[in-house]
Amino acid sequence: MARLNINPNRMELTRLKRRVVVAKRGHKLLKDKQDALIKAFLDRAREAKDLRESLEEELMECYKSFLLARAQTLPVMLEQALMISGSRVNLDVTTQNVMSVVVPVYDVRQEGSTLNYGLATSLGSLDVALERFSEIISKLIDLASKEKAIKLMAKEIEKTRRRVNALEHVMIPAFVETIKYITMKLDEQERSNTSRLMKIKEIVRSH
Amino acid sequence: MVPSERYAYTVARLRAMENRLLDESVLQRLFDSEDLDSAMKVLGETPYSSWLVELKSNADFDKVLEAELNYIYQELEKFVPDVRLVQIARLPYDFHNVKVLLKSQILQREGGERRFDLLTPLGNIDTDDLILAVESEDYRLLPFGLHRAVPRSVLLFEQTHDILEVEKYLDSVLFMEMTKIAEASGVDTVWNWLKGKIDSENLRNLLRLKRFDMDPSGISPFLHEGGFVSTEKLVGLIGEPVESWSRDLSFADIGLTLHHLQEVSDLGSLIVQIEKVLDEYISRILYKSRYGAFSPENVLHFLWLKEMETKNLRIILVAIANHTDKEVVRGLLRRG
Repeated sequence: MARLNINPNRMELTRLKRRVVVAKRGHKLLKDKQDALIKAFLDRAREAKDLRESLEEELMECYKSFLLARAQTLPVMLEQALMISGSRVNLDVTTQNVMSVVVPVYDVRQEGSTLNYGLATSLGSLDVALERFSEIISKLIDLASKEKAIKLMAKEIEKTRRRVNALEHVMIPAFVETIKYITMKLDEQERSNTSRLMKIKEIVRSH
Repeated sequence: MVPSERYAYTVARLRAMENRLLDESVLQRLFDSEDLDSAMKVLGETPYSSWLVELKSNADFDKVLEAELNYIYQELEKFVPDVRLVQIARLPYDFHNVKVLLKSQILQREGGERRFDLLTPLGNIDTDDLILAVESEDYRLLPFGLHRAVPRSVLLFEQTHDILEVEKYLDSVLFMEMTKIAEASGVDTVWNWLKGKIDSENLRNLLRLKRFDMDPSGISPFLHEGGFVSTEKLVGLIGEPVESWSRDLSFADIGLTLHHLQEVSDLGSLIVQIEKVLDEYISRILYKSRYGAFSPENVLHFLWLKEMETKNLRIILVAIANHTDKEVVRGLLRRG
């Protein structure tokens, strides 16, 4: 393991020892954060998966009912009925902090009616299809919000994992190695001083 | 009124044209087709083959159906003594075109684009003439009451900014104009056909509005006068459960067609099913005209058969193109 390129003196040793303590505490905190994020991520992922599956089924039903309308009328008549929408969707975006991840929260409000076309040139199956699509919009946006949060959390987990790994496998071992090196150097200096002093003492005594 | 003797040639020619209508076996072969390509091959063995050569992609099958229907309308206009019988069948397409142009104008004002691609040639009025009249605001020469209805619709939108009001108004004008044409034709079956059509339209609308939970006071503008059943009677039905409608309307023919719908509990499925039931009700009204060798109503009957044929073809082709469960779609096919 590569040690840091610093002067082996007591001051650096003290500084490094302090840094090791901080790094170990940071590592523990980040590890806890990572575990909590993974737990929250898995919960949300399961929730989003269930929601996606149920929505896919609902969407299939929507498209089936739309297909019934499409099959029984001229496509231009169908498009004419849908040229101007009577319904308005307002989307408010707020944010929520989940373990330091800022996830978006969407609030959907629908105003008006889906019925905004003449009944003589459209089919009842179109009403059914549009109503189903209208009902599914808020769920789709909810799913989008959940999936966005999952993506952001996955990114944060990845970032935290890198930090944890860097502390665990690079920084802390490097600090420990450097501390060991400085300690050895200082011990060596100490021994060399002792032997020097002994030699001097011996010379002094022989005179 | 055109003397019925003049219809001898027309009816004979219509009988010959009826032989070109697709029979059950062709529809079954189409239904059994594995994909759209094989379905189009089957269609290539029918009178629709003339239009297949112009097709760029098989997915554009709607153009073939539209071209064949347009050809039939144009062909009939050439030899039918009273052209009003063809005009009355084409009138809904004119109103569709007018709605497209009005909505295009509104969209353009809001920064959108005009959708002339949604115009259909199936109407009585040439689409270019209609565009010119609406774009130049020169409505004087528009037939079928449109010279009054179009500027009124523009004004109505400017006053209310509600496209539904315009749609309701144009739908009411459509049925009024159809009534005028039926009156001018002087043929009883045409009258009965129109009354049946108004009844079925009213009933369909009533069911759709009931599903939308519309307030009873707002229902009348969606209903049209002139059917066998009065609009007052129909408005009264909105508070009643759908299961009892058949009993309440048992005095009229349309009431009898509803009896088997009592079993359907979901209003959404009922709406899908009622479209077919009401189309078949109209078919039954016109079927009686088959036996008259000089009956002018044979024209309407043939046009209705052709409309149903293209509708059935569209249902089958859409189902094949989208790989839909064929059994679900089979229930939508209309019987001639």
